[in-house]
Order: sequence, then structure tokens, then C-alpha cells
Amino acid sequence: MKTRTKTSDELKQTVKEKYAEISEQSRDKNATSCCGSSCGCDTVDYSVFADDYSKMEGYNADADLGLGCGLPTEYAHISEGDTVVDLGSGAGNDCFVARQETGESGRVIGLDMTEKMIAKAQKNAAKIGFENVEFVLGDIEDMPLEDDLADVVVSNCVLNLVPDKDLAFAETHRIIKPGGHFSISDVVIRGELPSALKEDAEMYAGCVSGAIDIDTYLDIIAEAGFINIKIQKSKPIQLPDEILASYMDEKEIESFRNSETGIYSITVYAEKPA
Amino acid sequence: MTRELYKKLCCPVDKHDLEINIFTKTEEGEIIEALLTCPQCHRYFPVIYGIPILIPDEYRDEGLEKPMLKKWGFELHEGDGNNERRLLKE
Repeated sequence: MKTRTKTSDELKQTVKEKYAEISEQSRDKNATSCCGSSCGCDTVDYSVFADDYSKMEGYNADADLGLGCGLPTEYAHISEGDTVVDLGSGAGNDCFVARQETGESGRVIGLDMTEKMIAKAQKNAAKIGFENVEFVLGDIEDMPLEDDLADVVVSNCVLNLVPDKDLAFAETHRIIKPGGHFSISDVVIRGELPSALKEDAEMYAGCVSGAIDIDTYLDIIAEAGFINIKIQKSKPIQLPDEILASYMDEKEIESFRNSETGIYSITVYAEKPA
Repeated sequence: MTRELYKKLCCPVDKHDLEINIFTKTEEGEIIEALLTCPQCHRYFPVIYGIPILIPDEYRDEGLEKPMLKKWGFELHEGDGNNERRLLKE
């Protein structure tokens, strides 16, 4: 059996508590950041991570807490009848969008480790009347799902919050059918972020300090056994000076802005060999 | 939880298929309350409000589960704190 460090358990607990709190809030409040982290400043628009879902089919306003960093479902190539698993399904937004593509003959399973999020998602599913969208309270590092069950796995701005990414992608590989694929939106780092910024627990829940280097990220995916790994979308995230000022002085901010170093929202696609 | 979903679940720890004891279901056959057990590691996992609770030991909420188990006629095995596996009294 695998062992976990205390630190990663503590981080997971922090994330879990943070999200339980967020699930009680509305979209407008959460649009302040990718994962609903409050930055203590209400005058700046921090909706730097959230792409616009509201025009997509299957969109349900109650299920959208404004927490995503991409549109994995748009790039996920979901076909009618597919079984789709959403890792970190939250209030179910991506599941409902995916359900539009699988149709009645398909199946969507949302996995999340926060009770309140799952309860909210289930309530939303009942309201919309989707019987083939179901939710499971479970951990991405120890998925309670059978081998080879998913045609497609999607995940939106969640894996960066998982302490053991090797395990997360190994588990993702295990549950995907041979020949199946994933499309995952996530936050990654290019270059070296100042350690104070990275270590801050509040920023962790705000998607940043759990994020890892992009090359390491892609290596982990390859190590897990995936092939045809493609970055479908990449978008640099501009953090406002107000945020950076908590971690750096003016000179450091300037050199940070002029460097390649930064936080990127990416959507990655990869296949499990047939 | 539908029967179809149940068939796709497994023990999060050893990935063994789970056995099921159904206590409440709707007319349409949706499972509302049930107890899932792993025949290999003997952990139990409840289904409450139709949601299968399959998170690892350390995140489980005893306060939520205990009354349900009692209602279903089960008792928790008293363990040794932190590394306690979720087991039922025989």
C-alpha cells in the first residue's frame, strides 16, 4: 500500500475545506479567480482563468460556480453513447455539458471528494432530469472506478490541486478503455515562481502553488503510458500587480513580467494505446 | 445510484469488486441507501442519499455514517485512531 506524506494530506484537507466553502457561494463571487480563491481585493477583475461556458449546450447556471480554467469538453471529442468520467466534477457543470454529447445512450460519472459539491451536483442533475449523469464521492489518487471503463476522461482545473500527480495520471490511465483518451484543462508553471507565492496556502486553493512545471507535467503523462500527447490550448495567465505585490517588490514584479516565467492555463489531450 | 453505476464501482484501495446490501430504493430502482463492502479488505462504504461514499479512510466522516449504520443494524469496529480501517463489527 502506498504511503502519503502528512503535508500532502494536509494540503488535500485544505483544498477540501476550501471547496466546501466555495460550493455555498455563487458564481459571481467565485469568478474572482480560477478556483474561487479570495484575493482580498474586490476592485480588480480576476476572472483570468474562467472561460465562458454560458453559450454551450447543456450549460446550467446553477452548476457553474465559475471555477474552471478551460473548456475541456469543447476539445474532448465526446461521441454519442460514450462513457465519460469528470475528475473533480464540482457542482457538475462539465458533466452536464458532456451529457449533451453522450446523449441518452451514454453515461457521465462525476468524481469529487467534497461532500457538499457532490450534493449540489446531484441536486442539479435531478433538476435537469438527467438520469445517466451520476456522482461518486471519491479521491482522484484512489479512484473507486473499474479498469477500462471510460471512453473519455475530462477534468477542469483540478489535477493541479492533487498532491500526487503521478498517481492521478496512473489512475486516469487505468480507468480509460484501450483506445480511449482524455482532455484535461489545468494550470501549469513555466520557469521558477517565487517560493513565497508558491507556498501560500490561499494561492494553493487558487490553483497556483499546486501547479507544477509544464515539462514535468507532460513527462508524468507519458510515464503513465499515454501516447499522442498534444497541448490543445495554452493561455498565459496575467496576475494583476495587486496580487504580485504581496509576494514581490516593484523591481521583482518588473523582471517577472519580462521573463518567460509564468502561470499558464493549458488543455492537454492524450490517448491510451488501443 | 443506478445499478449500472454500481457495476462500474470498485474498492478504492485494492480495486476489488464491491458487494452490495440495498436498504432503500425508489420505484424506478434507484438505490438511495445501501452498504457496499469489499470482500478482499473488508472495508465498508455507505451509499447515503443515493451517493456512494468511496473516499479513503482518512477523509471519512464518522458522524455522518454512524447513525446510518445503526439504522441498518451495523456497528463500527472500534479501531486504533489514525490508521483505522473502516470495518464493521462482526
